[in-house]
Amino acid sequence: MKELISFIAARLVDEPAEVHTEQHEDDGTVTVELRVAKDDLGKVIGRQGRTARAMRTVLAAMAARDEKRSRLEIVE
Amino acid sequence: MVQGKDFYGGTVTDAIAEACQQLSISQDALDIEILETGSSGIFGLCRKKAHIRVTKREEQQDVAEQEQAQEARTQSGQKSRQKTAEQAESADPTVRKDSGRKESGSKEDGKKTAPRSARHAEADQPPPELPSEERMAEIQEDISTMLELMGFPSTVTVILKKYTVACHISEEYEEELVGREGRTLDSLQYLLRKMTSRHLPDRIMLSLDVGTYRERRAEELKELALELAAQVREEGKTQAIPALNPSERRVVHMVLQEDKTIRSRSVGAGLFKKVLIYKPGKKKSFPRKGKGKKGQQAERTSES
Repeated sequence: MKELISFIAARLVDEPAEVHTEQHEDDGTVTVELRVAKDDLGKVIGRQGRTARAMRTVLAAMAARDEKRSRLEIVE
Repeated sequence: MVQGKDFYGGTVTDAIAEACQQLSISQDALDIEILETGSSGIFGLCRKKAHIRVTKREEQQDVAEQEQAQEARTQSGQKSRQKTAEQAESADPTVRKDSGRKESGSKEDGKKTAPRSARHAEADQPPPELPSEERMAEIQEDISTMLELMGFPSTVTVILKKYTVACHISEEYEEELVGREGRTLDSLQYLLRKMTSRHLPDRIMLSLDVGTYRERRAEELKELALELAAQVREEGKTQAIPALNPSERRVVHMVLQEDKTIRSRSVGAGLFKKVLIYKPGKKKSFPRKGKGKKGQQAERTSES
């Protein structure tokens, strides 16, 4: 799942090399942590958090396939 | 600067009134400093008077205002002079007319030219540059990769429909990719737009569809809208369709546009708004009625 977020985030930011993701699962909930360059934070969050929300929706659709729940954390 | 004058009164308001009267000036033109608010005391004992100090604001302010006004006047004068000069070149009679009603004339002209030039710009704009074949192939590749990463490998086709890059995903995982009320598909479309916008020429749009979802959804909405419109016409009660995204609202408004006996409009904030369908002339009552109808409406929507 982190690969998907990495792929999307890398296309959104100015510095794709700075995109890092981590993933851990706990009790059916998959948490993806996303780290990007400081100046790119706004790009992965979007106005009113719209981009972040879209990524979460897509992630949720993917997790639902395995009957799991998902979380996307954008780490500062 | 005019020096402050002190006034006393039973209350602050009284003191101010007194000041205004004595100086024969309006309260707006005074800077009022309240030194003591005064108190009525107990049983009329220990009564304190309100104490204020006023400064005439009149002069400094008036000067500033006058200056501003003058500036505005000279500016508009210059404008109209420029105008007349311009027009003098083309036709003489207009000069007299124009200078006769200087200010209003120049204002009107300003207003008129702005939208006109905007419209011109739109009409005169050359057709947008089209994305290259390679760009389209890259977009196709991006979508395929995303779907694979998601675990929903599908066939993706990308074609150009006029100025829109129309992306289509095959129907194998339609249900999963559409999501509840199309949320997943819309999110994917939004992300895709963000991901590709900097590589796409200006004014090129992008749409994403899976299977026949968009078409079906539009048809559903049209049917629902017409059904509700008929109901509104009959019963006169306002009906609502909740939580529609902009393109869905557009479908509803378009299909109801022809019908002059009912109206539709969007209410709410944010991306998803609800669309009200109502009889004209009921404006005052419908926000409340719209809300009251909501629950009932939701049931109806899910039924259809």
